[in-house]
Amino acid sequence: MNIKQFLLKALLLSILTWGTIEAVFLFDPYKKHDLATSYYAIIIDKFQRLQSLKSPKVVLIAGSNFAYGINSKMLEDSLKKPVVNMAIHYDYGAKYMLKQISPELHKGDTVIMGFEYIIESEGNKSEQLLMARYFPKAKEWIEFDDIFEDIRENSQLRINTFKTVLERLIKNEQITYDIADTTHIFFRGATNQYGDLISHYNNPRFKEIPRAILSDKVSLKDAIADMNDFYSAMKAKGVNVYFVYPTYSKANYDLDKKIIDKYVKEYNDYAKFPILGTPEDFVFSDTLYHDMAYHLTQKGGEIRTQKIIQLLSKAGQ
Amino acid sequence: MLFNSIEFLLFFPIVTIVYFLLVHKHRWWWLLAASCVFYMVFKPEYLLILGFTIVVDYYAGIWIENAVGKQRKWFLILSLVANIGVLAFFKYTNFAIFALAQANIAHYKLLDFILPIGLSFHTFQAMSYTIEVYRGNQKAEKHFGLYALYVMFYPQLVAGPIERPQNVLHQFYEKKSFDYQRVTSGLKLMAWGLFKKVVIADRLTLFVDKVYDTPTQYEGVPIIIATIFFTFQIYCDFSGYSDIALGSAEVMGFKLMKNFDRPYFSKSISEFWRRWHISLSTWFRDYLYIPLGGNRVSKTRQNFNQFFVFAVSGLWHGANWNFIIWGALHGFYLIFARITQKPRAYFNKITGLEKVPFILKTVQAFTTFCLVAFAWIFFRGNYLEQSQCWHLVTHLFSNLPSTKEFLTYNYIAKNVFLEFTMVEFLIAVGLIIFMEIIHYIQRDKSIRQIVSNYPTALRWTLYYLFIMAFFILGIFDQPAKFIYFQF
Repeated sequence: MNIKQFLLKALLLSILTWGTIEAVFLFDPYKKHDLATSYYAIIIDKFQRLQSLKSPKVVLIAGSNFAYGINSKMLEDSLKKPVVNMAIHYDYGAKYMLKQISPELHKGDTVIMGFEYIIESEGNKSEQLLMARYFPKAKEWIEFDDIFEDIRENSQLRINTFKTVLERLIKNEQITYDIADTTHIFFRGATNQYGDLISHYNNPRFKEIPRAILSDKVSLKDAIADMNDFYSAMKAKGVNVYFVYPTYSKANYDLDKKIIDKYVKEYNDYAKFPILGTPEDFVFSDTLYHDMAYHLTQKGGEIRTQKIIQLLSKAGQ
Repeated sequence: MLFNSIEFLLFFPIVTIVYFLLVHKHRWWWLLAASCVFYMVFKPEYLLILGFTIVVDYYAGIWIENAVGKQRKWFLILSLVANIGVLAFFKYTNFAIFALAQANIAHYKLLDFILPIGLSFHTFQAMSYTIEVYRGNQKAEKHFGLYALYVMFYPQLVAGPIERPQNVLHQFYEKKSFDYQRVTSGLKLMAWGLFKKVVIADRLTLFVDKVYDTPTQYEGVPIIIATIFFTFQIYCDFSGYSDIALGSAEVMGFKLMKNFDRPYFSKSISEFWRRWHISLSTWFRDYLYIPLGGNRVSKTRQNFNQFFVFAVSGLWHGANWNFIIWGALHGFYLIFARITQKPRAYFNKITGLEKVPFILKTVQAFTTFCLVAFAWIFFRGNYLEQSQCWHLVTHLFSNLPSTKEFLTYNYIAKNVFLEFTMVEFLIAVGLIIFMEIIHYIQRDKSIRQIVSNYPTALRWTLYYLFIMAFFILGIFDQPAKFIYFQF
C-alpha cells in the first residue's frame, strides 16, 4: 500500500470520528433548551438592553460582584439615566468584557467598572466560547493568542459538548429553572430588566461565607492596562468612565488585607482612570453576603449601590 | 512541544510526510530542523546549551578516537566535565545553595532560571556516546549533522528513552521507505501511549492532586488511595510518553529501545528495575555500577555500590532530598532483599508457598507493588514541605475505619472516592484494570499484531470505538505536562 492510500484511510478515519463529534455539536438536541435556560445565554438579554438604551446611559461592567450586588433601579432613579448591568462572571476577563460594551457606548454615557480582585486580562477562553455558542456575536470579543489556541479551544468545546450530550442522554434529566425556586441562581431569566441578578433573593444564604482565594503572586497590571486602553478610547468618545473597588466580605477582607493592599498599590501606580472611593468603602458585614465574599444579598446590594451613588455624586455625576 | 498538544498534532504528520517525500540524503537535515523546532517551542534560547554540549561531544568523540594512551582518557574527561558541568550548573546549583543555607554554612542568592527541559535525558545520551567511543564500541561520528541528530532526535529528545549510539546512529544511514505495516504499527503504539497519558494518567491526576495538594487534611485510606493512583498515574504518564516516542520513531522507520515492560507485574524490586525506565537503569548499570565493581566485589562493597547507584539515580531525577530518599529507599530494598534471600526461601518452604507457585508469585508481585508504591510517596511529594511529606508517610495507616464504618456510603464517598462521584471513581479503576488486562494479553503476543489480523470491518470498528473512547474519557481541560519533563 502506498503513502497516498494510507493518507486516504487516515483521513477517512479522522472524518468518521471527528465527524461524529462535529455532528453532535451542530445538531445538539439540547441546544434549544439551553438557549432558553443557560446562564451563558443571559448575555442575549443584557446585550439587547445595552443596544436598546438611548444615550446618555449608565453601563455597569464587572464580574459576579456587580451581577449579585447592584440595585440598578436605585441607580437609575438617582442618576436619572437608564442603567444596564452587563456583569456576568469575572472569568470572562477584563479585555473581553470591555470589548463587549465599547462599540455600544456614545457621548454622554457613563461606565462603572467594578472588577474583582482576581480579574485577569485574557480571561477563560472556554467560558468565552461557550457564551459565543449561544450568542455568536461574542466571537468578535475573543482574542486567541495564536491559531493553536483557537483550534485547541474550539476542539475542546466540541469534545465537551459531545460528552455533555452523551451524559444527558444517559441520565435523561431535564432541569427546569424558576425565579421563584429557592435553589437555582444561574440561569437565563435570573435577572431583572436591568440585568441585576435577583434569583438569589429568595434562596437561603450561607450561614458562613467561605474563604475567598486571593494570591499575592498575581498581578493586576495587565487587566489595569486593558482598563487604561478602554478609558483612553472612551474619553475620546466623550464617555465617562469610573472604577469602583469590588465588594468583599469583612471576614475575608481582614484575612486578605495585605494582598488587597498590594492590588490597590497597583491601581494607584498604573491606573489612568478615575477611581471612586477605597476598598474599605465596599467592605460589609458577612451577614450581607449570600454565598461568597463577592456576592451580596439584596439588602447588601442596596447599601452598596447607595455608596456608589454617593461617590458618583462627589465626582460630579 | 508536548506530544499531547494541538501543535504536535500538526507537527507530526507534516514532519513525517515531508520526511518520506524527501530523498534519503536530505532527510537528516529535515529531521534535525524539525527536532530544533520541537525543542524551541519550550524555550528557544536553551537550544544554545544543547548546541554547546553537542559541539563539545562531537569533537571529543573524534579526538578520543584519534588519540592514543592517556590522551584518550583526558578527552573523555573533557566531555564528561562539560556534560556534567552543564547538568550540575542548571540542575544542582540552587539545590547546593539551598543546602548550604540550611546547614548555615553559607548564604547565597538563589539563581533565577528555569531548568532546560529534558536536560538530564540528553546529557546522559550524549555521555553514553563519548563513553562508548572511548570503550571502542562505537566509531566516532564524522558527520556533525548526524551526531547532532543523535542527541536531538525529537521523539526521544526531552524524556528518553536514553539511547546508546550503537543502537541509533547507524539507523540514520539506513534508507527508510514507507512501509504500511510499520507505519500503522507505530501509529497504534502512539495512540496507546496517548490514551495512557490523556485518558488514564490525567484522570488519575485529579484524584492524586486532591490529596497531595493538601496532604495534612488527610489520614489513612485517602492517602492509600491517592498513592495507589499515583503509582499508576506515573506509569501511564511516563510509559505513555515512551510509547509515543517509540511509535513516532517507528513510523519513520527507527527502532528505539523499549523503556517499560509491564513493571507492576514484577515479583521483586530487582525485576522491577529491569522493567521500569529500562534505558536509565541500564545506563546506570553500564556506566556507573559496573565501573564501580559491579558484582565482582565483596558483598559489603556490592551493597554499598547498589545503594550509591540508586541514590545517584534519585538525584538524577531532581535536585531534591525527596528524590534522593526515593532512590536510596530502592537501594535499601535491594540490599534487604539480598540479605534476606535465604530466610525468605526457608519461609516459603516451611509454609508450603513454594509448592503453589501461583500464590507465591501473586504474593511476591503484591509485596513488590506495595514497596514501590510506598517509595512513590517521596517522589510525588517532591514539591511538598518536609513536614507535609512526613505527614503522608506517618499517617498512611492512621485513623483507619472499622469495617462497619468503612461500609457506609458517606465514608466511602469521602475517603475512597475522594469526593468525586462513584462513576468517576469506577471509571478510573476500570481504566487501570483495562490497561493491566491489555498488559496481560501482551505477555505472549503484541496486541497490535492481534488487531492487525482482524477482518477490516472489525478492525475499523475497533479503531472508531477506541478513538471515541479517547474523546469521551480523556481529560482535555489543560494540556497537562508529562511528569518526567521536569528532569
